Amino acid sequence: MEKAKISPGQLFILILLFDMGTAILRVMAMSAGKDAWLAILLGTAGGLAIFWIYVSLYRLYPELPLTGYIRAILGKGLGWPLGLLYILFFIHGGARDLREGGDLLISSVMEQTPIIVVNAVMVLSIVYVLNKGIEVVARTAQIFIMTIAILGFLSIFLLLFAGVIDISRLLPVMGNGLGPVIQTTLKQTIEFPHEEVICFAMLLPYLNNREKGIRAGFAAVLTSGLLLSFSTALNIAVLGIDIAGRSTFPLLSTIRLINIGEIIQRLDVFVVLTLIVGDFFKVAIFFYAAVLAAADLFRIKDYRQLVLPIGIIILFVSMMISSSFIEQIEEGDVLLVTVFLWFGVLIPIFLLAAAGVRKWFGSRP
Amino acid sequence: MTLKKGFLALMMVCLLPLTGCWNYREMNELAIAIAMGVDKVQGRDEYNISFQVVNARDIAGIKATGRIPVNVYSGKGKTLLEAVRKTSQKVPRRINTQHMRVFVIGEALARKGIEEVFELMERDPEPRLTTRVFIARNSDAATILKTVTAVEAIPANAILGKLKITGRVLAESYETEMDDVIRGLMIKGGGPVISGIKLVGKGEAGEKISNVEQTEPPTDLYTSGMALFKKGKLVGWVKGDKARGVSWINNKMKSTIVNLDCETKKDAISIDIIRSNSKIKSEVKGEQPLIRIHIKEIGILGEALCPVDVGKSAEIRKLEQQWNEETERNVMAAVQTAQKLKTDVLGFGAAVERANPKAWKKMEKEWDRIFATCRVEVKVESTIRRTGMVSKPYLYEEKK
Repeated sequence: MEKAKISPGQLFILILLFDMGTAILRVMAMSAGKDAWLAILLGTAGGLAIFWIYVSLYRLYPELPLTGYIRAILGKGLGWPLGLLYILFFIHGGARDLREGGDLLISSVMEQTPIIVVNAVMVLSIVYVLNKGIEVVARTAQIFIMTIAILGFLSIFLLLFAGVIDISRLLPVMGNGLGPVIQTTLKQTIEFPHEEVICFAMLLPYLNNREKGIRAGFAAVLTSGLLLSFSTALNIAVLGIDIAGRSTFPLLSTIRLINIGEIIQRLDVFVVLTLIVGDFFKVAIFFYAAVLAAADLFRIKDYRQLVLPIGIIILFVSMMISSSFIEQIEEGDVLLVTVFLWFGVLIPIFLLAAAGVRKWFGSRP
Repeated sequence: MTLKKGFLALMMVCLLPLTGCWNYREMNELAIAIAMGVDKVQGRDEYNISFQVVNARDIAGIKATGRIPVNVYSGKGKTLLEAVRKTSQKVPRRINTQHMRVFVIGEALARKGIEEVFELMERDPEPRLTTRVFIARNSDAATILKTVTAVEAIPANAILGKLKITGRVLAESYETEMDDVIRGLMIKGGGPVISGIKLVGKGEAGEKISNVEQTEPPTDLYTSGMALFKKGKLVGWVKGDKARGVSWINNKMKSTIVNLDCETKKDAISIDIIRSNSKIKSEVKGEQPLIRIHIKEIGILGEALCPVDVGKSAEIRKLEQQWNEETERNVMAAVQTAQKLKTDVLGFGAAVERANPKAWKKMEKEWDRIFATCRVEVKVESTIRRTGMVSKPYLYEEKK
């Protein structure tokens, strides 16, 4: 652990950027059809519940990160190997998002650039900022959230003025009944992106104000859910469910339709910036969680020694993880309800239960 | 410390390869394709693609050379992408379609089916879905692209300008973007509506710059009606009143001139529409859906060629009533045409789906059959707001 403090506001921004990072770019919940936005909204309720698990664990062990209280709850024999698995989970998660960001960037704007170049540049800049510490990451996020907010507002404004939004494309609401919406919520939108917030279980001990920080965390999960739902609804209202569902990068397709008087057009850079900033923070948080977990388990005093090695591992894992973007997406859907579900939800629930049992027996004379 | 030094060294090394974009393409290595045309090669299952490429130097203000402003290059292939790449044998630069504004489809291909044409446009990152689509009426797309036009040096801009202005003041055709067409192709039992562009005069003479060296170019391109599609196939053209009706129903009506009769003379009063808004609602009772079209429009009196006292509001009421009927007649003409062609180009299916998703699920599969017989009610509320710079026409004083 480094000696650093982050404020509740900074935590809010970090969770917000982390949640929206890659989710806002990709097609979400398309199995619910026109009601994708509704499924995301329902999923946010699940997201809040998942965050509640992390918060409860944090309240029990406010000084320890995830890998710390795993050992405190399960004992060293069981806790240490589980912590090791979490390092792998964080590295894998970071690598997946790195790959996804790189693939989107290449398929939309940098057609012929090799993916290793794009990913290496991204990893190097993250290595640099992580060397500076979590406080610098948080302050960088404070700067970039402004950029994203301005771009977001401007995009909505311009979409309105371009007259491409047609709300009737979202109708009828629940034309196929509630069934598909619930199914999508359970299979996809509760899990993604909310279960990845487990990374913040490593970061919560840095909070300088516990109660306010927890509230900020809940607010961030809720806000990101609302924004994701809104952007999905916007994509469908502009493109129609067919084009939005087929598109690899619907937000870009949406923004490309802006054409006001043949002058204000070609605003692709808005989305590309959002992609790069979002991906940066998503990978950085996974990366940092992995570094902290490794430093904690192997008792390394200065976590900085681990940043470059783990960065290189993430870079290479991102290259080897799948042979194509299609495979990456296919695997992602499976991993979401297996690996990510275990590490993000089931293990924390189990930990919470075990900690509860421990406390109950412990408090008895 | 060593990490810092290593970092610095790495950054210095990075400076060398990172001085530019990876696959940069300089302006002087690009051929900007401003328009693209697709035709079917006769007798073979191949596409013929044509690009209208801008000669930047020949339209550059003072330095303009006065030579022909565009060149057209074509290539053939089984797929569109193959055809695009085949043109590289003829074009000295790399063709860039990022600035494509006009996309023309030959009528022969349109009658065979255009489903395949837009797949590349959606997949490739270069072309934009905001490109306007045209159907070359009675000709192939390549001929349209080869015609030199007056006023606008670049023919693609000329075509686009004509369509935009027609759409805004006459409403007998309107702009259709690629994304509209793609959405149209997905309509169950229906299809897209695409504006037509017609070659007038002799085709070959239009390919020379001499074509525009006369006050009235012997060969020119006019916008002409709208093509109605069923799935991907062109099934019929509408123009005049019917085309206006289509604009009204699809809520694309911006302005047009409606002629009304007065007591002594037919079609003597012109109403100029300023604003119009239409809504389609549906009710499903049993097997047959009922479609309700509700149009609200505001206009001004544009011209009065008979002695009518438009200074009286009672007269205006009468005109409004006539205008309602005239609008309804146009709209019903469009509905009847679409029903005869059995293609839902008017968005009725979507209205049924909005009103009753369950009933729509049952009708969806045979919607083209149900559409052809469904009942349509039109309700028009029109208002004449002003009468221009005068009230009574001078003809009124003369007659006294």
